[in-house]
Amino acid sequence: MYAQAFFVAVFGLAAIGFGVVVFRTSSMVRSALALLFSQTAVGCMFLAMQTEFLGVLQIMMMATEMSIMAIFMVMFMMDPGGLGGMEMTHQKRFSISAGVVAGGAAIAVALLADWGPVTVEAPDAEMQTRALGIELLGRSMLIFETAGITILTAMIAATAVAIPVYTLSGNGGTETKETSE
Amino acid sequence: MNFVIVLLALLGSVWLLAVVEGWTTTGRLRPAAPLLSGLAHLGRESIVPRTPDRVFFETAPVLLLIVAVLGAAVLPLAPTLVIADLATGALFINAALAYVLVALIMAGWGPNGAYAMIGGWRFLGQLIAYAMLIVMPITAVAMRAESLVTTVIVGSQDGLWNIVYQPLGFVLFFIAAMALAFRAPFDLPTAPGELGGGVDAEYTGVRLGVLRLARLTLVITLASATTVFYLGGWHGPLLPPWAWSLIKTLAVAVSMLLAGRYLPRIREADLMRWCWTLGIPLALLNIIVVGLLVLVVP
Amino acid sequence: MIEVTKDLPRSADGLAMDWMEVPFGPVFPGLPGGLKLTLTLDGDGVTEGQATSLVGMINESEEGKEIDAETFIERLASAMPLASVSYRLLACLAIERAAGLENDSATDQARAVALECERIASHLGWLAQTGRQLGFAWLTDRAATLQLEIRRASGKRLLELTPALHALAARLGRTPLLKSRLKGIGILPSGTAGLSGPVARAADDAGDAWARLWQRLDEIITSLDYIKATGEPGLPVLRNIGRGSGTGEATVETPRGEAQLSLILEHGQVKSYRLDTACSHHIGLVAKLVEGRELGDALVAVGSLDLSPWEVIS
Repeated sequence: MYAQAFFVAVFGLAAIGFGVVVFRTSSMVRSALALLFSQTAVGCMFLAMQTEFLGVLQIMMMATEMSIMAIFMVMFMMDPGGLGGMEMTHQKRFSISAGVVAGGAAIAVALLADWGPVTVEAPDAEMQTRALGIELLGRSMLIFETAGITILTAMIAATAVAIPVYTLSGNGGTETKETSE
Repeated sequence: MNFVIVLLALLGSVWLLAVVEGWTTTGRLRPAAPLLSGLAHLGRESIVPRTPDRVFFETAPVLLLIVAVLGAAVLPLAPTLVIADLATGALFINAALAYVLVALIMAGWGPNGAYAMIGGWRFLGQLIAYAMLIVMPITAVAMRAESLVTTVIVGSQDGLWNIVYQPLGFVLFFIAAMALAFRAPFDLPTAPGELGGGVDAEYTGVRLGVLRLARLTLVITLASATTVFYLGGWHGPLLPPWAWSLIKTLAVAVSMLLAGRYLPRIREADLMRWCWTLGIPLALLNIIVVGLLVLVVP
Repeated sequence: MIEVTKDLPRSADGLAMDWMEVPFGPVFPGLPGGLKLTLTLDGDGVTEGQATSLVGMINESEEGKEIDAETFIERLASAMPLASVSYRLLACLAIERAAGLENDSATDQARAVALECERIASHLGWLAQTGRQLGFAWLTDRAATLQLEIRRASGKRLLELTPALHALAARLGRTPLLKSRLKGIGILPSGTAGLSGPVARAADDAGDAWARLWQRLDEIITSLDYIKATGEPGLPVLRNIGRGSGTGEATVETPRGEAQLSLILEHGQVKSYRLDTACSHHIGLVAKLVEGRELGDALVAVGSLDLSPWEVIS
């Protein structure tokens, strides 16, 4: 029990630490990868809390997601290497107050909510995986499928909007036609 | 104890693979060569390029080695010979190997060199191509075993190996595993003829030694995964279970090595196109076929 | 952000990124040594590029300095290490013509066989280099082995190697991924001027890297047939020219295309000369071939030209 609490605390602090690094560096790639490791630490917290499937899933998903975010940063930001020492924060007053309010709310929920009796023995990992699968393909199926299709549609739409219109020119090459000025 | 045994088996396999690799490229069988060149790496100057991203540069080779070993940790050599028999083993190996990408992006970005950087980002494109072909065949394997536990997956192949039960899945997984291990003909991030070594280009000395060890370990891990998922793991007559696991793993690793010798490097665009227009529909078909088999055949 | 990126050059995909100028060569595994390719990269796409030779000859004989005819031949042959027999032959022919010697059919025949031998060896060398560029280890090993054998071979031994060369071509036809790797890469715009050699002959076909590969493989077979029908190779040696004088001009179809040499001979000494080679023209095609291509495709396109940096005359 104490060992578990210790590891949850260690990974939690690591998650916060990497989260701070996200804003303390001026390199976009470092920032993205710091966010990645922050999320990985959250995944490790799941593992420490004996939710194996969620933890492993979190660790897996974040690696690719954040790497893809990193390449978008490199493509769209003007100083991805942070050689110009860019400041990562902006709208300071607003963001500080928003952070304080959100943090306070989270702590309040954690302390004030009625969490019910503490589970003495968590079901083993195999049972959890099974229960999760039945939940996903039973009661929650409609919600998850709707969300999945919506995300897919959004991705296809975003890609379609982002691709310029190509027209085949006479000499066999492709030329870009400006869609808007 | 298991930890030590599996680690030694991994190291031994890496050594054998390195010997075979030397044999195919130089035509001479020199068992001591991997050790000697490893020692030579230790003795050489390990140059740090100008204005590197030092954290990434130093972390990348070590991270690659760690994820390869972590991936191997859930793969059983024998019914009880496994470091961690996780309830989510088949998912965990995906999670571990996803960090190959992170390591390569770090190795590409860290040294502040054009060849390395292009190599690193190229691998991100490669991931978009192969990732689904790793995950979807494993899904079909887990469907047959009705479990994500790797030992149960091997157990489910008692009598009929998955290579026979789902040959399509095996072919897709084998190709995708080669792409994940960035072996020729999928060596786009290193591509000696195009990028002069790519992500390897700026590494020297002991760092290069670690990187090479990590790459070979990754190949062994993936060969071991192929064995566990498709070749019946430790099943086989006469010999003890661990011996069968090792023999099959090495056979898969060597075949991955040899395939690259006889093929030119694939074009990035072709890899992407074939994986998405041909590979993913086939992987879906594989899932459907296996699903029907699981339902129909008792 | 818009203020920062609005003046940056735009690539075909409309993204404004920092462009990098990256050197490939003069010592790069995928390119012939001595060739320097400077590519401006936008991500992994090439926006522009140009090739220069760092080892090419300078087309100027030193003022008032006469060179002995034999020395001239040796110098020219050793200045072109990738096709020394062709240039030796070229120099011999030009000098002999300047001295007014008639053609001698027996010598011509032996010389032609030597030239064809070199063509086979040179094309095999190109195959090995292409294998290195494409990470196709088997091709590199096989072509390099055959190249060495052929450089040492007599006429009879050459004929023994014929099945091996046929097998190599057949094997390449069966190799998966090779066609998709080369087909449609490095297409020259129709009506490109200044082409010669295999590049020109392949331009009648599809004019891409795949057509150039097959043009060279076909030439290997054609040369073999010629050698079979003709006889033993004989290294070009200058015939006795005495202390002749005059102007001579010769053209030789080297493995990489036509080379032309004109020179003035005075009392057995070369007074001045003018050399023109295929590679000097081909190197100018690089800029067009790489523009707007993915990096790997651009390098394959450059490789398919079979540029020899030594044969670039500036």
